[in-house]
Amino acid sequence: MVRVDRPHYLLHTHLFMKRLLTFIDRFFFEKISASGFGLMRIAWAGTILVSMLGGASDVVRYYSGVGISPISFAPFVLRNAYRFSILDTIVTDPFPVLLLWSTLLWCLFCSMLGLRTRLMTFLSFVLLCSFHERNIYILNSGDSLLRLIGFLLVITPRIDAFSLDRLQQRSLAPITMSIWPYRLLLWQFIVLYLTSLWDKLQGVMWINGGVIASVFHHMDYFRFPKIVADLLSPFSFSLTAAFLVFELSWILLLIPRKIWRFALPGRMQNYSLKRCLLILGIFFHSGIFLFMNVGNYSFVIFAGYLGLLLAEDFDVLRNFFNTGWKRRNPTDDAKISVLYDGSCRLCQRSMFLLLSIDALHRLRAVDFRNPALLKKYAPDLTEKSLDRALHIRLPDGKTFAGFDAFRVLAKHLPALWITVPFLALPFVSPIGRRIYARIAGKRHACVQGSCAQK
Amino acid sequence: MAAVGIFSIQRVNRSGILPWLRIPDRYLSPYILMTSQFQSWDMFSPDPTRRLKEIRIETMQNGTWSLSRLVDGKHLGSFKRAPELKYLDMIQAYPSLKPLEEPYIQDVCRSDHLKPGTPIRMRIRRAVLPMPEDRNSIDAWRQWRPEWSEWIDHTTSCTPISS
Repeated sequence: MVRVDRPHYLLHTHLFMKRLLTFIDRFFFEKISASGFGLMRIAWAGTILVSMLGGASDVVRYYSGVGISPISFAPFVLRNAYRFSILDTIVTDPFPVLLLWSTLLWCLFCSMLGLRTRLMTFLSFVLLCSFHERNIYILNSGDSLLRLIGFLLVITPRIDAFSLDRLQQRSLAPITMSIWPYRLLLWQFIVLYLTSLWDKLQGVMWINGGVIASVFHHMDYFRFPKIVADLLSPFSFSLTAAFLVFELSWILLLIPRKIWRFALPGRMQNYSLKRCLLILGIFFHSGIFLFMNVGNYSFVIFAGYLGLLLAEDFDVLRNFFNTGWKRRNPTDDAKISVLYDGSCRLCQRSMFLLLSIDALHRLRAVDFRNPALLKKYAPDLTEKSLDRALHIRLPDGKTFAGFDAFRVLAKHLPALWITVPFLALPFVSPIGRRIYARIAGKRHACVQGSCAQK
Repeated sequence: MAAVGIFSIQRVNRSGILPWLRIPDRYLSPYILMTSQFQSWDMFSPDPTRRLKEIRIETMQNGTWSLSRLVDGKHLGSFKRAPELKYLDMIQAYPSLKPLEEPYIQDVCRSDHLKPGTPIRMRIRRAVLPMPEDRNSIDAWRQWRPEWSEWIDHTTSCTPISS
């Protein structure tokens, strides 16, 4: 007769349950950076905004009762079950439809900038679904993914990274959120690619490799003349196979990294499979966009990819963009010193804004009213000269002031890179210097708590 | 996410795998539809369409039919191309959507300010891309030219615009 040691058995069960619950807690509620979802929010709203603006001339045609899909036809051509659209019943005439469309644009704009982020994102999602449900026959896969990303943004706890709402809180502490929205997004992509792959394998052309050649000769999709399609045809098999392998590879993301590390050779263990797939995805979907007109699909995919970026991915990106900077400035302390007036409210806000968009971590805020800091970072500059305009000092000792300082800073702040070509134009500098001088001249000077207009 | 997975698998379930998923799908589909999470990732699958299409909207002016509008990939703007061609593909492909041809044509009457009673029709030209058996041959594709067939799909007349 076997004697069961009951207390021991219970202890093991208790320990197992505790470990299981800890694992589940960590799996769904481990804290991650919310920056990826913040960027995804901006890209999502921006993509819909551009699509809606591009289709402005067809808003009444596609969505109103007097367009190509009259309300009277809705019961016969649209699904009736579990469907709701404001445009079915409440808003059907052209002018109200245009008004609702304008409201959607406004909500998207606010969501993109991060004004009343949660509310505007929710309203954008509801209105987007209303427009989509009103006329589903003009939609493509990109529109489906927009709705899915929108739903995820609505239920995600923190979507206010990179928002004006955050700026108002005056906090530079990184935002974190539970990992479960990230996991939902990742699984959504896995479902997307795997069901797409399965569907493709049911046909003939994906298996025999002729898809690319065929699609490139389809005049409704291909952007270039037939001769280009003819020249690209020999690559059809390899491109088709590569795309299928890419889609299949997403299933590997279900395997935990700890198990991966056993299977991979030593040198490859530091590489992230997810990052490789994202890079390949950018390559494939950019190619689709470059060669074919299939709507907004590629851009929506890129928006979704942003949501899959974690803190470690941002670190890798930062190191990549800082490669040249670190080569030119090898010391750890090499940063751009931004000398600002710590007693001036406008300067404090400007400095806060600069630091919040300093994604590459190249800036150092130096309050020149602090004698110790001034002596350390700019001993040759006087308070009087620094008081006239914002100054920056590069690691190589070069100093820039005012508008010129701003122009140099723009090259080091990814959010301002888009302005760099414009700021380099010859006629911009004189105008910029004048505008800067006017703004700097009007700022309140605050000395020992007492402020007076200059 | 489980609901999304089951919904998606059912929609690609052409080969009849996992029939037991129909039961949970029946209960999960309402949730998916109400939250607008319905999805189908069948772009260019199982095989991309090989049908080339040109839609010509013709009106009768002075007793003869003349081209009023040409709807194909080359004559539509970037933002308009995908939704417009998708819409026309859908109403051509599914008999239940055939009734939508009439409002589509009436919309042309409105936007082109055609007089009520003007005869108007939709002529469709169609060609089929060859099955790319010799996929590596530039010459085969270079020699290929589409063989168009055409027919009148829908004839009607412009109705007065209701105030």
